[in-house]
Amino acid sequence: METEKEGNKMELFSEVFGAYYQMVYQLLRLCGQEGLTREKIVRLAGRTGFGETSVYLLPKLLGEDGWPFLEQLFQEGQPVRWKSRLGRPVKRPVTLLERQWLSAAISDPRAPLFLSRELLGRLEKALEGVAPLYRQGDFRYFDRYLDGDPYDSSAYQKIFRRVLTALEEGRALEIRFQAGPHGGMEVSRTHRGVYIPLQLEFSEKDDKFRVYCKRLNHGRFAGYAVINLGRILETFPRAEVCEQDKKKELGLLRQWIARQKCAEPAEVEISPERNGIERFLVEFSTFEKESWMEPNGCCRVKIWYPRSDETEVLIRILGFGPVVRVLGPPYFLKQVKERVAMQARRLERTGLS
Amino acid sequence: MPFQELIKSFDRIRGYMRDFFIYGCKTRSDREEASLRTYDNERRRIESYLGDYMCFRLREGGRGKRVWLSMESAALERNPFYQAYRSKSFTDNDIILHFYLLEALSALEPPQEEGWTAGQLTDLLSQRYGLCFDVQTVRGKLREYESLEKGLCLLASEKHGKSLCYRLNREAEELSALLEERRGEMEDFLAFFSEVLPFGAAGSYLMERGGYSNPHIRFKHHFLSHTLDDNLLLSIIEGIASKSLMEVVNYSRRQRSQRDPRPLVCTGVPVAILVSVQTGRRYLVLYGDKRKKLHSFRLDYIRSAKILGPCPPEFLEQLRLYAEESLNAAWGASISWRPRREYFSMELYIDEKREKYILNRLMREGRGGEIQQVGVNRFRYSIETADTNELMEWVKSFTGRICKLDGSNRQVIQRFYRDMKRMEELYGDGEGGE
Repeated sequence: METEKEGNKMELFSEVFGAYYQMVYQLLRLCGQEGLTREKIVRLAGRTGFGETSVYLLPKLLGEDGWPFLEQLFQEGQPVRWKSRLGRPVKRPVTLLERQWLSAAISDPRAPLFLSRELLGRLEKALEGVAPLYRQGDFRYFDRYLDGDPYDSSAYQKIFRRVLTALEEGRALEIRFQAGPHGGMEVSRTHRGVYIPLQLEFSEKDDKFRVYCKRLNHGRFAGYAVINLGRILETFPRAEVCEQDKKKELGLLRQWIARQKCAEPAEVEISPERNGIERFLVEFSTFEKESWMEPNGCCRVKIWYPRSDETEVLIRILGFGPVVRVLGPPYFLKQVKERVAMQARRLERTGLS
Repeated sequence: MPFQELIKSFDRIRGYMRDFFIYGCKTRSDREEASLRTYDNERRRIESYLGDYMCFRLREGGRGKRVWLSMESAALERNPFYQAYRSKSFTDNDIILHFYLLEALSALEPPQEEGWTAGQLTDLLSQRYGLCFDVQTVRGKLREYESLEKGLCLLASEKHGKSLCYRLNREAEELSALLEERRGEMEDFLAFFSEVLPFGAAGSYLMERGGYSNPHIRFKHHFLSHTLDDNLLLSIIEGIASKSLMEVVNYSRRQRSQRDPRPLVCTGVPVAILVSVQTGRRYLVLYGDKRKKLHSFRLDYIRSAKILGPCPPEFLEQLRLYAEESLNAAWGASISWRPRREYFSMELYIDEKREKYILNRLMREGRGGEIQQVGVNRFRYSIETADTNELMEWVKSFTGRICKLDGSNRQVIQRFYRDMKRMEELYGDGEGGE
């Protein structure tokens, strides 16, 4: 697709934000006046740039005809390190584009969840006279679920900020929350327990936050839990803290989440009628997937999904009707067949089949 | 020309990235408009930008080797496509002047209170750092960094007598200081909004600048490829804000499938951006000045959007009267110009004791439709809308529960019954029971 953008002033695509500029900022800061060895510079370029950045950037940084940012330091006549030629590290000022984006972000109803009123006030002052990059009303989210979290509620904001603080500090909270549906049924029970919040999850479709926690029973790890922020009724601070290093904790959580995935991917065949292939692939682009075209013009797709989302995946596939045919795995296909058979019987009964 | 990692224009990589990500299986022969070398270079670039995040798998298929590109949005800390925005090419002079001018302006006392002139900075670069630039080149860079062009505004200037003096933009500096002072609180704020807001790449630049990461937030149902259209969207948003007349060049699915090289050119006033958080599609709603009707264009199909000038006031008045009503009547992005609305209803089987969650689903997803109990375990959902066809994907997601459909668009309803028949044929040996 060849595209072009004309007539406007703003650009998201500018070298000032580019990876190479960013790397030079970093190098100048790390090299400073003490200097870094060539090996360290090579390692840094390999780690922070694109896949082939070292090939292009190193001759520019360390070569004779390159950019005049670094110079060699000698010890007993031998070059040992490279130091910055600039007096002190440079920091890029915040651009107008970024300020305008920030101005739009702080007017979002979810901003008070993350920032105190005091900080929001200071940001508003610092951005006085900066027009937001867009107005909230310019974007209409027409199929967002209508029972999203109540961001404007001060009780919700308070709970959110307590959970966020506990998450940042690695501290436990006693949480009382409304239980979720059980076996498909809403229940009026509440739960109470001690949890260490580890990670928040936001769904744009559900318009809801959830928090992944470690559950503690008498101070000992008793499994992971996922709680909807909107269902939390009360939180109380607790003395327990996260004993392990945060990175390690998150690594373990990631492993647990990975174990919650389906054992086998759902496999479907999409026919090209009604633009089915494109519609399906865009809609399922949030999932891990593998796709390929068949000689008959159909597209085969494998989708890996969390087990807890199985029903959602199933009904979304059914939404495509006969354009998408489920091929497996057997237990998934069985559910599709059951629903289709049940549908046929309903229409038969009403004489509409 | 040898392969270059950096690129001058975002446009080509936009299309390739989207195709690799969405289709996951584009081969060289699928990109009919490109030469083999172009295809290979773009593929190599994508691997270079996204290698850390993505999984390319080679597989022998019926039509040669294929590249797989797959990622699960919920498992990522940041949108990998922001990397593509960091690949703009530049000249040696660009980068040298960027760092040396910013250092001079931030670290050194200016010769006069108001700042530095271009001539003074040129002399400084030569005397202090041994860098020889002509004053025009330095002035050009100072102007670029001062002007609104590209949205940088890193510098401010003031005229003193005959000389124009430059200094760092004080407002930007104050904001920088505040972001630095409160970096702990800003980290999660930026991590969240740089993913969920439009133009999130701008937030990701702030994150990069501050050295922030995102260990605390995951994103579900997150359409990563939206960002690829955001650079183009900037001009559309400007058109919406200024109520300008715009020219939009669109290359639709139909034109693609028929390999018709002629794009559709439409002029009008941009009204709004419609976003589907379920299907991952975003649309521009444009009020066309020729046919006086609302059009919706998929953002990922738009090739270019150009502001032509101010819109005539009488045209704006027509638009105001018409747009809001039409948008409110639409189920999704299909906006009808007809005053008549289509009536639609469906009756569902819902066990009222054990399946309250289905009723909740109807309320949550039904976009304001009316729900009535019409019998024991029988509920009717009804709505008036611009285009019944748009509802049908949602309706079919209730397969297994649908007792009856009714409505004024008979064609769409008949097609539903035909689809159900085809479903029976597809899955004919069903073993379901109630």
